[in-house]
Amino acid sequence: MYVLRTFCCVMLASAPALAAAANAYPFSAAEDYLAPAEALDGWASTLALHGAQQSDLYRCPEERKACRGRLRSFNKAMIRAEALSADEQIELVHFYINRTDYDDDRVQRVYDEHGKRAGVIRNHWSTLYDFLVEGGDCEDFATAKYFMLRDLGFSADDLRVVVVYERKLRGYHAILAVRRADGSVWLLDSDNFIRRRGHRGYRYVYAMNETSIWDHRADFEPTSLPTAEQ
Amino acid sequence: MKKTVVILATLLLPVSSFADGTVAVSSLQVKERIRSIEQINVTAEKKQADIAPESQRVADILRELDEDASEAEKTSADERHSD
Repeated sequence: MYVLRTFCCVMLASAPALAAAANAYPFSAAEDYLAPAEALDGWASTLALHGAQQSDLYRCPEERKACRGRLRSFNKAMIRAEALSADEQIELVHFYINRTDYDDDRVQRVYDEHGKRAGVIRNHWSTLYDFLVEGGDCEDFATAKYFMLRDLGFSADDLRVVVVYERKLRGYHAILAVRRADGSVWLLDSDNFIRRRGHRGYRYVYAMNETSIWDHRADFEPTSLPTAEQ
Repeated sequence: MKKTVVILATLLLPVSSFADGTVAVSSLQVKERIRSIEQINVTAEKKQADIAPESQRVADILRELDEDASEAEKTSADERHSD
């Protein structure tokens, strides 16, 4: 009995250390809050467009012409998901979205009214409708899962699209973080893994949902990450 | 006098920490951080692992969706052919 009690105490005491070792996503880090979602222009326009396209998502299969791309299977997946538990809904959304062909988006050049190059837009965040019709790349996989889980009734407070620096790939990558009822955070990646305890290979850079943006770069030395040009 | 010092300190320091752990960031600092976030190129592609869902119900639904998709593809190909 004594041994069992000691074992439980040790396990409970080391739980935070184990979570830290696995590098869990810091969902509760209030100090990382940066700004409302509208501050990130590209993301704000994706949210607005997704709202406008909401009815187009569900016109198939009643209107046959509205069944472009994967819209038919999407509607079927949403109906079948209603009978599943929350854990199963996450699994279904994760594997369903990951079955989409990967389409790398290119850097878009932006020009001013005089035709001079004003800059570049590096990331394009797709709406769920556009993703189902046209496909997308890693950030689109994460946002498609976000929108699908929202439509299934998950709270925006429990969902974040997170941009990570992936040490193995030496590049930036997007995943979806889902906070579960027990406080654990599941990380849904486009490589098919659902990481339930975080991942040592990630450095969390920033995150967003439909209300807010969080900047996690203060959690580590920003100069240790490569710049966008590298 | 005390008030002036606080205002000056807020203007000079981009980030101010409070006792409860919250952090106030100046609007200039927020704009700067947003701009640097926008410059991050999110394109790393990952190879997909051959993993099955843990739930058998989910695996069954995915199989059903795959079968529907290939059936729909076949039907539209047949329609194109008959046109």
